[in-house]
Amino acid sequence: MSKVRIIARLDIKGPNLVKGVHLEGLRVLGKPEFFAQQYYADGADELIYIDLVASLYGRDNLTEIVRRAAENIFVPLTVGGGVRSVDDIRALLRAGADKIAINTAAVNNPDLIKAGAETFGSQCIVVSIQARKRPDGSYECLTDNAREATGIDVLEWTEQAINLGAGELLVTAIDREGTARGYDSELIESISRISPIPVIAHGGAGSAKDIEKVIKDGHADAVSAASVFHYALLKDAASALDTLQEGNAEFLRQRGSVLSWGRKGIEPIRIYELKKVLLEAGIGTRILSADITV
Amino acid sequence: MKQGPDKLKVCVIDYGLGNLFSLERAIGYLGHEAVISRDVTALMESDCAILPGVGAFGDGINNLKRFGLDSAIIQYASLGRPLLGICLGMQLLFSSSEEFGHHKGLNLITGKVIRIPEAGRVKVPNVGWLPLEWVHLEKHRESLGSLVTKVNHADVYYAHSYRALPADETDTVAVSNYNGVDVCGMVRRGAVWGTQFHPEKSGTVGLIILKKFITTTASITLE
Repeated sequence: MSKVRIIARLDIKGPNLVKGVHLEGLRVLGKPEFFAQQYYADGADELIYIDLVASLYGRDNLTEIVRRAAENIFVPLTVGGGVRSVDDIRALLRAGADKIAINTAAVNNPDLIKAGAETFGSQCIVVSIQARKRPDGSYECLTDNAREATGIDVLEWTEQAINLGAGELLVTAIDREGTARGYDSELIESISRISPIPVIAHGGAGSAKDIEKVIKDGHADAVSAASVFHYALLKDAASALDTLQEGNAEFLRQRGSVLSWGRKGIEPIRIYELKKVLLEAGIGTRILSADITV
Repeated sequence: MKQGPDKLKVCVIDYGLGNLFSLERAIGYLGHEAVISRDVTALMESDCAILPGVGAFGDGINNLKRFGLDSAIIQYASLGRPLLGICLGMQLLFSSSEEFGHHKGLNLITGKVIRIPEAGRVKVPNVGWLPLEWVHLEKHRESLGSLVTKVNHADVYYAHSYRALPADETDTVAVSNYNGVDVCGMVRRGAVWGTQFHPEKSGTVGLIILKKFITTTASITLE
């Protein structure tokens, strides 16, 4: 059996790792490369970097961040945010990305999926789908960081994206994102059922239980989460402030206890702990052998 | 030409396809020097060479031809020099592929490349981590050395839609079972090696395998 991939997602704004908190907007968490390095060491199977405001800061910002992130990380790196053309894809791949996530540009110009897949291979092209539930229970696609409704049905778009050569689908339940209420397993299952390509579930992870549920009920091939991992790291790092990189330490000192951040119902968990929990639940993931060194 | 056994010169063949950056980082991390080049002299002067690549087989072989690298690589390999093909780079080592038509490969390893059959739990592309199982150890044990025990059953990262079928089954060094489909994970014919998985993206396990290729095969040529 192939193993379920556990993916840490890092949302980037300018030089910072940020996290959208429901009804509160964006919160700065620290330097992305610090988190990325720690997730790699913890056994993350992949990392996803999404630049939330790529258009404001320009492409150079993201390629530079990717370059720094990719420095000593030897697992796949998916990068997205404002990718509009084959040239954008090429630039990010050159900077060290392995796969590129596309949402808005793919919806506006589906041929970008085809052109990307033909030029770089399907395994490079991750179509990011932001899905919002409609009153009738179906889902529609959103673009522009979920600001724009498209009226496009998610299942129809899924089929089209697959036919155009997408290699993977990153499916975010917009209603759940940042809420820690759990993934939308129904949405993920409806897409997994028709998809011959891997499906990555995102949006709503608040605990290990949520992750277990979307794998079992949603048949996700991979799960991506942000807050549960970020806060676990910050919580542990807070007890070892002096060993932190300066930017993060400063930030933590300013904001006081990070434990209060758990109030949104998040039960933070480190990736290596999560993998143990999943194994006990009968779900296989890549297990890091601590005794192996280069 | 040689820089001694400590820091080896690894030619990463640049034919316009593939994420050369991560491979360059991995080689540097292991303490060796990556020379990214499409220059035939650079290839010949390296301690060992890696043929990377992601993308389609047809584009791959056409690009190699366009840069005159197909004949250079064949000549390089005919001297018994160490070569490692990764992912598409491994597939290009074979005689032919049926990806989008029929294409001839470098034919350094006899056999063909065919599509993974889609069915049920077998999604294509195969993206993810699978354990690597050694096979035909009677033939490969010596070349693998400490890898045999060190990374047995260890997970490695795959991202591919096609799989290789060596004509001589014993050229297969390791396989991975992808929901019932046997994937040829690693091949070897003499000093020509190939991995379908990405050692530069397979964490510590991948780095160990990459290190083994660079140091062992390079030491063979120093003799």
